[in-house]
Amino acid sequence: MKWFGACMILLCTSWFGHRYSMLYTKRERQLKQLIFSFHIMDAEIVHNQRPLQETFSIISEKVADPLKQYYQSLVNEMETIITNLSVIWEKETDHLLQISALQKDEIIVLKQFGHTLGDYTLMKQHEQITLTITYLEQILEQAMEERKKYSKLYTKLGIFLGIFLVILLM
Amino acid sequence: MLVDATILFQIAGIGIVTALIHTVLKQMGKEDIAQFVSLVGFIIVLYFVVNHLSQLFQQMKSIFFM
Amino acid sequence: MLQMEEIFQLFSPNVKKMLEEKVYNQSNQLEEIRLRIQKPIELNFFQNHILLDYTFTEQERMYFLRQLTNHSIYRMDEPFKQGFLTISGGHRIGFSGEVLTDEKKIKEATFFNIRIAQEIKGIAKPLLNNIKEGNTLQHTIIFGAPQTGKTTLLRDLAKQISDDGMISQKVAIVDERSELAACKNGIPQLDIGVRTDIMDNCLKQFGMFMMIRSMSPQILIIDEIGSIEDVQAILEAIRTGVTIICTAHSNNMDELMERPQLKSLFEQQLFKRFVHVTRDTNGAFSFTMFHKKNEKMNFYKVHKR
Repeated sequence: MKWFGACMILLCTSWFGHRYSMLYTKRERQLKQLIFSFHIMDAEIVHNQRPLQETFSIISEKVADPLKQYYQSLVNEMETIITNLSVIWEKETDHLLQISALQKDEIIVLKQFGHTLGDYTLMKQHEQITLTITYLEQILEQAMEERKKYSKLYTKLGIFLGIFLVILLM
Repeated sequence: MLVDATILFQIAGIGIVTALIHTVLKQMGKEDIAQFVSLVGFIIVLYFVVNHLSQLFQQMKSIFFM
Repeated sequence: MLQMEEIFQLFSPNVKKMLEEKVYNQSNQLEEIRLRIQKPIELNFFQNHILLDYTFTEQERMYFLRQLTNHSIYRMDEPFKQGFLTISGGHRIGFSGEVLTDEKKIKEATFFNIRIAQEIKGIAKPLLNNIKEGNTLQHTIIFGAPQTGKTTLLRDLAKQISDDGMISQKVAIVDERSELAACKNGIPQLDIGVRTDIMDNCLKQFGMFMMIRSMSPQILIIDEIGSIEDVQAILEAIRTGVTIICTAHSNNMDELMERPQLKSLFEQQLFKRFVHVTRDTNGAFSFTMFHKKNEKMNFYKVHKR
């Protein structure tokens, strides 16, 4: 029975450690997907002059959750007649903070982008997209470094803490 | 004998794990938490040792003052 | 008033309500809605115009542009080069404002003219039998003063020829200003017949030959001929065997025949049918058909809707 309890404790703390470490991995992956989605946006807008709702629909088919959900919600919100796209964009971006591993830095960049979305000429829109991609790439670089540094360590921390508790309660 | 093997392993184990956690935290850059953890580990070990020493002294007392 | 929905929803709710009220009784007489920055919105009916008690503000302008492009204003780049945009329903929105002289396109559109599409199906029916000689359709030219309905007539003529069971010919339209078929993304918004092909937004001189080469039409429909290039292209086209039906600006037949650019067209007496379009104060259309100078054939009067 004691061994069972010990295993449970160990498994529990290890799992927490692993989950925390996965946040770093997920953030990196989601940032890459976000940048990818902006590249698609750029291509569709500049080459095909595609309207935004269609563009979001195309993007949502090409990315995975939670970004898939994000873009799909935008598509759904645009089904009815709306007054201001930037309001909707901000609302959905706030929601994205809740459902994804993305952090405040990139969410702020996204919100900034929302203020310029769909209101300018082709050239300016392209510039805004390119600028946003640059910012996101900078953030990605940082996130990659953080992942390399921290993710394995948090997993280890979880395991060690487990062993510590087990020994203590032996 | 007087010293229970389990306790010995416990003290050793805590010591090792504390050292490991300290290293991991230091690698993460969280020096302050690392020091704190080491302190906690040390206190726990100290507690164990003191506890056991007091047991030892009790036993000694009972042998000599029977 | 279903056809107005596409236009009304371009405006913010307050304006939309106002428009619906003012247009209610005269909906089929509405010809234009004009928007000017910082000025009241103007509604142009056939006989009168109304200035709404609502100023077209910058905010309203942005709302308008956003609704027009579905929040994707970068899509205005092409229309800003052309100077107009066709929306679903066939209505045409022209714009003006600050222009970038170097790039020959509009930088900021602050004046808009929404021309309500005027499709009157059946208006050309009385003409059908009369533009034939035996079983062949004759080269026809429709002329009249501006805003008399030449384009409306031409459009229905194309449809009637295309759809009619007896005549049914392959019709090709060169729609230089996207007014006849009002194509949106290549899809005609107005009814121009089931056997009709369209070359949208293309200069007549090139469009005509592209059509003849690629679509082997029997009838070629062209709106507003006026330049020497147009005339030369028509003469060439006639030589290939297509029948031409076109329109031109002119107040009367004498003036038409005397126009320097069009003279060579009539010298060879290729055109056997001339339709003079006029409109009276009630908006009713009148068509007078000639088959030679001053030789009247028939006279029709058609009431609007």
